[in-house]
Amino acid sequence: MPIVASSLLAAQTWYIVPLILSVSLVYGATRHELPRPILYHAWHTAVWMTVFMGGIFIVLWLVSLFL
Amino acid sequence: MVCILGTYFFGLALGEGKVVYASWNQVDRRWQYPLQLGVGLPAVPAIVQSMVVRRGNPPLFGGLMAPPRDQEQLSSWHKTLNMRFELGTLYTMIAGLLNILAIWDAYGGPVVSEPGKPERGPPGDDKSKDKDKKEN
Repeated sequence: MPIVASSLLAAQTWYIVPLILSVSLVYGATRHELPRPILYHAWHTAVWMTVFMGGIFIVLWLVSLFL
Repeated sequence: MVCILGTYFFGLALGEGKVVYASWNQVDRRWQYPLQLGVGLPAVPAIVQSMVVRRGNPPLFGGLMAPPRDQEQLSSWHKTLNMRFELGTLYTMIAGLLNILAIWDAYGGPVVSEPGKPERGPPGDDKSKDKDKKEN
């Protein structure tokens, strides 16, 4: 568990935050025209991407335990 | 536009202006550049730098967006910038791809979402408003 925590707190992990923000906002803006629906869609996209990449992170972390 | 250019220039700053360059030779096939070029004018100086360097002249603007002279210089960039080289490349590539998406959106309009249940739709959805107007 400390390894997971240290991986999550590592400096390079936080570079994903601005990427998720910009990608979800731009993607939301391609789906809607008004600010509120764009933000709503962007929030859902950001959550989806975070969960998806978090899943990949956990899988890779589990694989790394056996290496 | 703020998101896309912000992402692009953040990536460029991360890579100290060395992550966007045009090079296609035996030493370095920079396949990332066409994706970075999607951002438009901000990536064009790399083509100018590539042409200048190919003619044997020293790169302009202090080497900003200039291709590496040889493999040794490219290796030294990787060594100096470390993970920031890859992160800068990633940021600028994604900015280019997002701009292509934005161009497509400007050309074709907003993508029509699949019709979902009304209670799960976004608040004040512009498409549902349009639908209401049509029904009235």
